[in-house]
Amino acid sequence: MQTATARGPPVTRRAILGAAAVTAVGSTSGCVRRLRSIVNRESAETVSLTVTAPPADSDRLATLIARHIVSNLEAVGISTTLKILPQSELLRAVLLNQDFELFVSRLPPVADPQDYRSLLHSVFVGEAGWQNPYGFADLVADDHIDRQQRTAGDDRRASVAKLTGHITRTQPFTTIAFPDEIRAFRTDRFTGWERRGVARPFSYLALERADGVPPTGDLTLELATTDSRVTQNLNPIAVEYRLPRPFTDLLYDPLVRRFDDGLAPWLATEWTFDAGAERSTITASLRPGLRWHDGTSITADDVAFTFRFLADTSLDALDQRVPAPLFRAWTSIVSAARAVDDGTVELTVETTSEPVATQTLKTPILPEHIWRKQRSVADISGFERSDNITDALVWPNLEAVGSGPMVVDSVVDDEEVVFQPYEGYFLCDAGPLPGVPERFTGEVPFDKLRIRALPSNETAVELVAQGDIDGTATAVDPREEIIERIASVPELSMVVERSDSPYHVGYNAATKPFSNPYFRRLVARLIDKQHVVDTIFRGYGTAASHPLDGTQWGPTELAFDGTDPAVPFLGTDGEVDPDHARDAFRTRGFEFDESGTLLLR
Amino acid sequence: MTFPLFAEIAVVVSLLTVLGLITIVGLDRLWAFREQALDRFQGVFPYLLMLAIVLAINSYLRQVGPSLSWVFGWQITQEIFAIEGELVGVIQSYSHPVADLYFSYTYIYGYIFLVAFPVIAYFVLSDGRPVREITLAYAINYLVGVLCYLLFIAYGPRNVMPDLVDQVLYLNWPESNLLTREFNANVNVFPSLHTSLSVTVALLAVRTRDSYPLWVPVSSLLACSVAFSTMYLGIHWGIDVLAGVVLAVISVGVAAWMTSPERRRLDAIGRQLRAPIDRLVGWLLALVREYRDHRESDSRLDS
Repeated sequence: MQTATARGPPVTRRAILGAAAVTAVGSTSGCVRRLRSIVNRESAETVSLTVTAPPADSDRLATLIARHIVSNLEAVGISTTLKILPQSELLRAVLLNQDFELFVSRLPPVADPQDYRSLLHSVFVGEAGWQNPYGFADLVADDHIDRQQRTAGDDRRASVAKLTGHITRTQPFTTIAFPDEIRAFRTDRFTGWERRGVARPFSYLALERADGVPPTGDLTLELATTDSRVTQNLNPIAVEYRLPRPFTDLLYDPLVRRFDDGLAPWLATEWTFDAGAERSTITASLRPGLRWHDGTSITADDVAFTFRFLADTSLDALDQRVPAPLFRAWTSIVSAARAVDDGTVELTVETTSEPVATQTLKTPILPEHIWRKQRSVADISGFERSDNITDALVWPNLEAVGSGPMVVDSVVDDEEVVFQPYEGYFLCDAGPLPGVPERFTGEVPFDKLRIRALPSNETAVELVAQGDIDGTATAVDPREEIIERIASVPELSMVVERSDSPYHVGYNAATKPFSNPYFRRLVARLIDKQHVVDTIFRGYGTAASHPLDGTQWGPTELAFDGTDPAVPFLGTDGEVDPDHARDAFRTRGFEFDESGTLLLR
Repeated sequence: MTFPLFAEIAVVVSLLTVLGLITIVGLDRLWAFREQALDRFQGVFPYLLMLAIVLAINSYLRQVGPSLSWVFGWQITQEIFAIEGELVGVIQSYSHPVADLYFSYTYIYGYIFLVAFPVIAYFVLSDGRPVREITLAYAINYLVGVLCYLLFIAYGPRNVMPDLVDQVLYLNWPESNLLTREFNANVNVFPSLHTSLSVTVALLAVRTRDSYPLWVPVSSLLACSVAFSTMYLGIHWGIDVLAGVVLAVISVGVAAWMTSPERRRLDAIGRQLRAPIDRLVGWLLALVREYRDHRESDSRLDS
């Protein structure tokens, strides 16, 4: 674990020399006592902070935000270095090894207040993954999180408002802004890109072949990604490889899928909710006749296994539980999962709130006959806590067997991954099904989906412009050159969607100086969110004060409104006002030396 | 996957090479060479084979390198940044569209020509030493280079300070990124092999100035342009370029030492090592000669 590194302590050395001189002159007991009290007292030292961020090649906006933070920290006299790590190494350092001080990255979407549970509840401090990576342990936050989990309706709304107020005040992390994701698509082979957005890979299934393209016959949907991790690993629970909207969504189906227009029954046809006094029961019926990609039947045992397995991937073989690092907000409240018969599963959920409980059904279901074999302890370097890692968490799973609409066709490391439609999929030759959006029923519009890993946004857009590729799966940078290039080709259309995965700065609240909430607040006040949106995002984004800002859950008084309501910027137009900022630090008891460098004890 | 930009590179580099052969090497030399080509090839073959093996090792290590490096290597991006600061940003602040174009083309076409042409030009020389020197120097460059890439992980300036340094090359010429990706991971920047190989060529040009006086200014100008282009395009740090120059000096020094006629013992060891290869090549070339003589006598009989 890294702590703030100390720079040379001149005061201590002088103190020792002075004290030694005093001792030499008259060695009385009083002087020795004085010596002890001087030498044994640690003096304040200048600190150096490290900001970790991904390289510009993979996330240019994050690198630029990190540069903004570094330069403003330096401006107030906090010496700061920028550490660049590739995405997967960054996530490994932050989520698995807690080896960071500040980091800049996208935050997984907080779509529901319950997502705060895994992100911030103190019971998750020791877990790997996006389970409280900040080491934030706060009694008040825990209370609010627990209360919103128990309640529904106005009571829940009130708890969420209190929780939001507390989070914006204590700043376990600083939400910066939601980017508008820009993607470029060709309309000469496929259409329907802009109809419902393309941020989720699942939306490709709702595309249509363009006019003039034969309605049947071989047609590959070619997409570009600038994130090569999808070509290295297809494990749905390997947190360091998964994007907020992972392609593994196409391989693994959940019981229920959530779309903008509500929940849709997927592997389950229906479910009932029975609230008890303390906990509740969900009984779900599986769609009959479903099969895994390898032909094995999907049974209620698989579903029950999935919830047990995600809660402990060692299946009770180890003293310590090894939970899957993803989907924890939901799987952690499922206390029991039982197959009633082949087609019915019963989940015991530790909440009495129906809206909270039913969201556990969004968890992707895994085939028991494949994943049970992955329960042994992984013997692998690179992890600092390798006794606590099972094969399931590190398995590349490149021949994924799931139940989703796509199966893996081929994978070339760092180059491409090709999917093809799963022939036995229940939506393939089905008519309209109750609750399932009609756009997903019937044949998939392509017979192959090729995702090519490209080195940069510029290359991706160029290949789309030249017609080699149908669209960019990852968002492109909001740069003038790129947007002009997209506009210059008539067959290209640009889809702009507000992402629900904001950029944020995470602090390691488990170590000094970030264990002090005032320090976190002061660092947050050195980030000019509006400036980030205006200059770094070039207007393609929305500044935010918290992850639910702009949703139905965000209290109006806490909404970002030109300035941040809780942590307003200590300067103007991105430039920090050093005197004003130092005064703010001094008010909270921090000191600066004569050259204006921050001292910390 | 097809080789990106292959056709463009083949055309441009061939044109430049033909131009170079006419102006720098001269037609008389080429005419004289015609007779000795097979013998010359026999002498150089072991060196070309060695270079090919080094390149194969190099390309394999570069594939597995990055993932190995993250486990064992040193991350030195911060140290480089701390030493040289925003130098590359300052260089880019003087950018100009014409310079963008010049340095982009120099980085891709100019570099390939600069590295390929002297091998051919030295091959034509009746003195066998320069061609041995250049293949040895290239091999040392690649070996040391790939070793450094395994040991040191560093991102280039465009990845660390995108606010000051733009990826000029890929912004103006996105396809070139597909090419560079085949050879370079973006964490392999220390040292700059573009610089070290270019400077190697320029240093060897000085050593062979009596044979090819015109090549000295041409290669020097190109080498400086390539070295500067790596910074101008935001790909390398100043320190990478400096390390590249040092590597070039070392490689040329070692290659010159190894090929020196005074190194009798080294020469003897080398001769022993290549004896089996020489025998094989000699046998193959004898077959070719026999076939040629046979055809010549046939055609004489026909007429």
